[in-house]
Amino acid sequence: MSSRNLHKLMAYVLARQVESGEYGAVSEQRLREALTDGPDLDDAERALLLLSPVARDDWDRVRREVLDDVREHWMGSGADTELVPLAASSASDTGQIDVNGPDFTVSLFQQDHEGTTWVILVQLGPNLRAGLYPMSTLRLIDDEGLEWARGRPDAQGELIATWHNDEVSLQERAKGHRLRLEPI
Amino acid sequence: MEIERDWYGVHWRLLRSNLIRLCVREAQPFFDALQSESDEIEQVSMAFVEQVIANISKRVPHDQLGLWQNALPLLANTARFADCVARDVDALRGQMKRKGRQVTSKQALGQLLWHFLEQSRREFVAMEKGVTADRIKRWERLDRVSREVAAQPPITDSRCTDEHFAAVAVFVKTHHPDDRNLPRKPSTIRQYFLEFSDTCHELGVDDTICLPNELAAEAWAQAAPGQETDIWEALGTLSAMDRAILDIECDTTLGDVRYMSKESFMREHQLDTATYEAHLQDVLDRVLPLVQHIARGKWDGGEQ
Repeated sequence: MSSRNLHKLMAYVLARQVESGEYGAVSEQRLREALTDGPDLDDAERALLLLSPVARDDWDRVRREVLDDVREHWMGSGADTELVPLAASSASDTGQIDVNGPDFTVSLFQQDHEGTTWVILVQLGPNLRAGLYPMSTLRLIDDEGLEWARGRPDAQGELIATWHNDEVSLQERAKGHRLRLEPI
Repeated sequence: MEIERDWYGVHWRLLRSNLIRLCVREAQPFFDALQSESDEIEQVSMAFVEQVIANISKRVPHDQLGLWQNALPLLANTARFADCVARDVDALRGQMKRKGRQVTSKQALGQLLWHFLEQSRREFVAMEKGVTADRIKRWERLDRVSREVAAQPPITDSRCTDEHFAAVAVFVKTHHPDDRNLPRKPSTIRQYFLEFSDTCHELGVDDTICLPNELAAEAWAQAAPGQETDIWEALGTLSAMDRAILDIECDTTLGDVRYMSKESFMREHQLDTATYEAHLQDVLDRVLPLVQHIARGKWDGGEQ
């Protein structure tokens, strides 16, 4: 089972949960730390998110505040979070495709002859990096909402993900769709 | 720094949704009793409230959040609850349709409780904060003005926004310039809405019927590291039928056979929709303790 499908099942299951209150709460300060400068939530704090609807609500509220901070910073700096599609004639002889924009670049490295497995490298420029916290997580999606990559950029502003799908060609998709980065 | 909770204001939605879920979960004996024409609705309703209060009372000593002790006063007016039940008894018996679809007893109870609890909250807030009849009357007038503003273009989806409060303030100043009984500052209008309006505490999809919600899904993603394998193994202990149903609803690929659709599964197992839905609810009810058991183990480990 992929984690995305387990994710959907958990959404069904956890929506039925009634708060017991017996596990207490994660403090707002800890939630904010985990979403900004770290350290990350520990096992007990993560477990609490599964045990308590109130803890999930607290986490969601703080998370939304932190995401607003990042978006505001990006807007204020004029950072461009979108990439236009590649020219339709673009072809790759080397197995590498680069989609470039003023504030970030997406490089696709083909891993097999069939073009079903790719390594995706997102390199952030200074404008986008400046607005992020060390614990910020980003995702790269296209204009139809398909998620290409998700993760936490490293100190150099690199985010690396792998892609394996024999039904969707990333190479073709890069020619027909805009790409967008968003904090999550 | 712990979070200060205002259970009847900012955090009201949380209190209400948990209370509704608890009531709906405990409601089967209540539904059964309502089916019997010989039982008095008033007695059945009061017995149900007493049952819920007993359940909540057991929760209060262990509740570090203060949620359940704040739930108790909301159920004090049992006579009004019985009136609501008498009014909606057909729906509570599962004998109503809305927009061509059958309303289940649980859905009907969820809707009834939502309105009942909103009214209880307003009264309780008024009593606790010493709100005067004048203030309530002022809110009722403000609410009418707000609806008038909301009906004008551009139509707004929600009346609980700063833009709407600002628009109402402008409307009051221009249409009621001499009326000092209407609030005219956006911040004051916002305060009235938070205090009195149901609009600022919209009904969440999870409040009455347990549909998936994005918040739970995102929390799952956050909590997933280190727990995914354990949960997957626990799900593997379910019966083949249970796993097939989870496959159909959530595309989990847990089952041995992939059915093309819910309809083909129902046909093969000769299930009608109601039986299928009941089985699904039953499976989800059994998965929740599995997940909680795993999470509790991690929580205990971290606490030691």
